[in-house]
Amino acid sequence: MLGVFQGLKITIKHFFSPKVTRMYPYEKRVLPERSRGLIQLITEPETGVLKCEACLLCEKVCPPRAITIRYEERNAFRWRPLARPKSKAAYYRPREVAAYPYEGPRPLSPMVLAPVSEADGDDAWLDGLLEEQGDLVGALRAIQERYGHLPRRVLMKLARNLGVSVSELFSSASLSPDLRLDPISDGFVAGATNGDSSALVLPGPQALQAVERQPNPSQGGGASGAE
Amino acid sequence: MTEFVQQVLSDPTVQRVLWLIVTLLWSLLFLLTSVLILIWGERKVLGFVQDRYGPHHTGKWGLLQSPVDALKMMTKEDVVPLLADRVVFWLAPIAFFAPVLAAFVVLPFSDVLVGADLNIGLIYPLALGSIGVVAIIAAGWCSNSKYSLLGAFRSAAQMISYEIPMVLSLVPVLLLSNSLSLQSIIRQQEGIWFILVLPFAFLTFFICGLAETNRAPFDFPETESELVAGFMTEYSGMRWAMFYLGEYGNMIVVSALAATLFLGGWQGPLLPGIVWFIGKVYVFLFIFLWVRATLPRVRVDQLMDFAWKWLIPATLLNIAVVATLALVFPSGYLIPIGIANWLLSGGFVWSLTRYMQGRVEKSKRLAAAWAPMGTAEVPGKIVVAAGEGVLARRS
Repeated sequence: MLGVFQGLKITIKHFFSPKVTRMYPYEKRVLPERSRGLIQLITEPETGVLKCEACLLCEKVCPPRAITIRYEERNAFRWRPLARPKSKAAYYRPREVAAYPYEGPRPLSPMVLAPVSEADGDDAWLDGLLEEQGDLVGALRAIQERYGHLPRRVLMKLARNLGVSVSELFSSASLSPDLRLDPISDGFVAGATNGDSSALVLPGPQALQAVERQPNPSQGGGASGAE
Repeated sequence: MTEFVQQVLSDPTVQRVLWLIVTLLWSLLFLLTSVLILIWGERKVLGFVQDRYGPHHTGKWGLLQSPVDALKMMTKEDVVPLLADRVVFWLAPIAFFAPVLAAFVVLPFSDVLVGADLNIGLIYPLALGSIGVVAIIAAGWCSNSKYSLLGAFRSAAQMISYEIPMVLSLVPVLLLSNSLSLQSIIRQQEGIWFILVLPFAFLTFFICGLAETNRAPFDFPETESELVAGFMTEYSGMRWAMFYLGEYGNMIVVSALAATLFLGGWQGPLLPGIVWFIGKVYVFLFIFLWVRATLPRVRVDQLMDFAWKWLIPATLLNIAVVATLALVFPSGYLIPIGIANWLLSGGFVWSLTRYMQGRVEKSKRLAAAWAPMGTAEVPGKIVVAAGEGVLARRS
């Protein structure tokens, strides 16, 4: 019975305490400019199975391309066992997804270390590109025509010319299926020596060491290390 | 013609009837407005206690939420289950709401604004309160649904159990006031409010009031988590709203009774009596909501235990003490009765606390005894009390 009064005391204290509700549509949190929300892999609490369906959308839209998802189809289409001969319905067993968001080497965010691409050099043609092509998508297509994909450095230059953020250009580019943000390759391998993705996601000093360990780009041909 | 009208109007019987109509209209107005305010207030209070804002979209501070809800209720389809007893199904909400409205007749809003100052004014609302059980049973029975029926039976058991201590808890008030008329009880409290003299009577009355109005922590007739909505499961639209109105009206009646019997009714300085009365009623209504925001629902066996093993003996003891003291001190019995009542309240709270702590400790002991069996290792698992013999054999 005393506990009842203690409970009443607590509730009346909360009655007068400031409220924690955030009036969401009217009141939004101030996030950093480049924030895209919290990236997190969530598991089901009961089973520990990843909730990721391997739709690869996160990998596609991530501006600094920090996410890599690999998956394997464990359980594919199956015929229902003929316990009831009439039933011919098939069913899918759930696909088990292995997602490796932070496993292994991956391209570094362009804001941390800007890799130098084969597009190094003359960017003067970029200056009147937008007026020439008429719209942004046209400009991006022109860049892709020239380099085979959209090199980050060129995009950064373009963004500087246009006065927009790089991530906006990235998101525009990722919405169009024919625009490639990467050169056509097998993806990133350990060491990341191919293409223009020449760094690892590692804490700062280690990343620099890893870059220094790479073969000399001028001799290796094609790829060049970050300075 | 005018002479005839004057003659008719000067007839005391006609005047009485006209006055009754006026007060009834006032009661209806007060009831409906209060229910709208209460529904909004309940959601607001629950929200504030849970550190959120409650409704805030419709109108300023969400004030229009209740009128909008009422509109929705009125425009909803009136669904009658196929196997229901249609006549009873239609009558039950009315039978639930009508006694509540009728009880408003005796509530003294001020020294003049009272429908009828009956000389059994205290018995009358209590008697009407028990008619509600009939309507609940009817609603539960005619709905032809297991949830409704279970809710109705629980309600019957609960309301019959709690009516006894409720009436018993009011007997000390009668002993002090020597009258059943609410106006004369209010006038008796000019010197001192009865809540200061009879805190124990108030405590028991309020607990019984919670149970009588089916409010948390005694909201068994409509346990949402177990019985969907109890006897109201099959109701929708305006008929459901009638039950809602009745429930909130019951709360208002109990609060008004508490304000009348223990807080001096419409008496108070400066402001007019009606403001004081409504203010006191709303204080109790807030306590209703506050208690709901605080306490979880008790178990059915705890409910019955509390009524029969605690409240009824305690109220009987209170009557005996008050009556004895009133006899022993024929003049100036207020102070000894007050002291005795405060002691009784303290003793009641203390012994109930000890009893509950004892129950908790017993279950902890049992859990510890069962720990080698792996029972207590599961977090949150309720350990069923086992007999001593079983424990001895296991160990």
